[in-house]
Amino acid sequence: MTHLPIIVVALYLATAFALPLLGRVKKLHTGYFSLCIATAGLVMSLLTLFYVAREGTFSYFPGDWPPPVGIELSVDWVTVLMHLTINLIGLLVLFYCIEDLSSEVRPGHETWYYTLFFLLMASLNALAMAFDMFTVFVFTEICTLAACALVAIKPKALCVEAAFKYLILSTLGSGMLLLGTSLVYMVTGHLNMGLIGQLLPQAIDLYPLNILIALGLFIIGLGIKSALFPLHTWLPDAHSSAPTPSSALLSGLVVKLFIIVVGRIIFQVFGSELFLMIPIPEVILLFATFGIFAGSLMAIAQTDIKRMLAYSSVAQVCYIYMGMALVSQTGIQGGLLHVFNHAVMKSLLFLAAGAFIYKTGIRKIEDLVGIGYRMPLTMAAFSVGALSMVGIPGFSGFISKLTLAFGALEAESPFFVVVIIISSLLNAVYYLPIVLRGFFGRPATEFQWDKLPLLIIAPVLALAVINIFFGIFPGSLQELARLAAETWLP
Amino acid sequence: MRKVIALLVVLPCLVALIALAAELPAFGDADNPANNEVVERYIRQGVEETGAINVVAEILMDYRAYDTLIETTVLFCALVAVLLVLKGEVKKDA
Amino acid sequence: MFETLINILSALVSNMHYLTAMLLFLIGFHTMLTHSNLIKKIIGMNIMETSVFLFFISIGYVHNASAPILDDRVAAYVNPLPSALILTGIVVAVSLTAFSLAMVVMLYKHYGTICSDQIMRLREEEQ
Repeated sequence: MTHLPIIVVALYLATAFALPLLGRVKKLHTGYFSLCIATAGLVMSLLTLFYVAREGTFSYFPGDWPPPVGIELSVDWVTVLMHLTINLIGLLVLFYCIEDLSSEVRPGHETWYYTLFFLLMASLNALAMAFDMFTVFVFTEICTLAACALVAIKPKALCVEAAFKYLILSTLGSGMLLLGTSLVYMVTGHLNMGLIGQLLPQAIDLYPLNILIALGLFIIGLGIKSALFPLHTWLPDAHSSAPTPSSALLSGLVVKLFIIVVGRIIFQVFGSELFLMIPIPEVILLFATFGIFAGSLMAIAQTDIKRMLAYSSVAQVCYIYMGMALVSQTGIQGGLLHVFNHAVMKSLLFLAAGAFIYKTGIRKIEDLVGIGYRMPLTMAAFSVGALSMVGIPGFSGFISKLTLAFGALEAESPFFVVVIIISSLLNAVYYLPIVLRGFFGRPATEFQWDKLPLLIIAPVLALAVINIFFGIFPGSLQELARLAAETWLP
Repeated sequence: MRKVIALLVVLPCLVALIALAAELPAFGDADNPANNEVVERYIRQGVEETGAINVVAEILMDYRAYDTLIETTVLFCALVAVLLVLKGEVKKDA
Repeated sequence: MFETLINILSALVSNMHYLTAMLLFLIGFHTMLTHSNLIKKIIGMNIMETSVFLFFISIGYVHNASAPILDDRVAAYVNPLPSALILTGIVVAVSLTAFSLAMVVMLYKHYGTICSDQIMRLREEEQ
């Protein structure tokens, strides 16, 4: 049973290698094969959850070389939560891929899309449990490459340009990550996060500047990759021009995993005491606050629906950073809850917007008037996502915002409660008009029910149901997030 | 304009990194923290445990083989990405 | 005052390799930020990555020690771990360079230029 998490990674990698070969054999449907594999991955991450719940968290050593000489993978509650998120969202997005891809990529390139998809999923799963600085670096790279390729796969110069920008900035980030790793290795002699964490308190007396610069490099480097506010410039282009399933994956998962890595580095390598000694949490809180407002204001100004959703991601990422930088257990719990909830909400919104584009070709927000008459189910699902983003009670977005607000109170900084409330109002400014105009605006044409393929509507509805379910029964998820927050801040 | 901003970003970094280079452990010193018991173990027990005389190869192929697997996967991923981008002829409409 | 300056300078001279790596890092960083030519951006990216590799490798160096290939006549070896890690790092850097060059080829075919400012202008004209 302890092999399960690594089997997920290995299975995905093997599938990625095998798919191009399977694509050569004509009558094999690579899409349905991919679905089976992704389902197996979800089942395995559920089994891991049950195993960890019964036997407790554990570490895994590939090749059976324990830490000082080998690599450690940590299967703790954060890993379990992230594995569930990744494999659940991945599976649902994959359902959507099967119908949608033919309209987004060149004919015959679908198999390559699935290959890149599984490379991305494998790297995300592995990043969630990596407990070794160099492993983090290598998986970050493969994640970046696969993510850029998933943007550039659409045969449009616009997408290639966005992917180029994304790649250049991400490389800058990974250069900083590697430099930070080398600085930390230099003064501790270890690459394992736990061992570095034990030795850092001694090293900081001898080499204070070194540790400080390393922490700065980690936060800036991974901040670029996870689009922390002033470093987000690549995100709107990349996320809005990519094929719809890629947008959902990038916004929902890729960005989050880098936040998880930042969290691991802050809380498990440097430790919260060291983190609090220097004013870095305040700086992150400042940028996060600016980012929440700037992202929302820029989203209001957009006319393209996918671009609006991308800017909204900039704001939502800042919520998660805010939760972590509050350095209170409830704050981190809220941040981790938001990782899951935002992944569900944002992929729901992107997939629903993609369904509008798939059926009608409309990308402009003002042209979406009366879309609820043509595609009532999709629009209803979109409304669920939008209301959840605003933070209406009964939807999952409300739960994570509430927990974040409690976290702010626990950290004795009620200012951030005000920030959350004002930003919810800003969210309402750009999400609610779409919902209202979609359902109550005068339809441009007479009523007609545009039927969508089952494989497109099913994942959208499933995500909406998941969203409502965790909005009404948040107990189990909150418990999971609380346990995960305890790993970082006991 | 862009050059001014770039200089404003780079100059503080320059000062910080030069100060850092002066603070780091001395170059080439055998007592540096990085030359610890782990390295000692790679050199002393490596031959028994892995059978390789070249210590770099034994780390790459045995102790940290997980990273090496991913290294090759990165290469595969780049191959797929390059093929896709070069094959996908972008329509020239301008 | 004068003495601390001497101390810092002598530390910098003895840590010349680290200093060089840091300067190269900033040169690459600056190239990536300021140049609008996409190929030069990629060159800057490579300078930056190579500087990190140089830095990592110099961590492992030990005076009067030989390469970590076991031999009875050798007393001391350099630290093998950085070399092993950077071997992986180089492969990663090559992959990234290949992908970014492929994208530049694609952009050049479409826009007929590799200047990012011109590409941005052309893109706005298209829309």
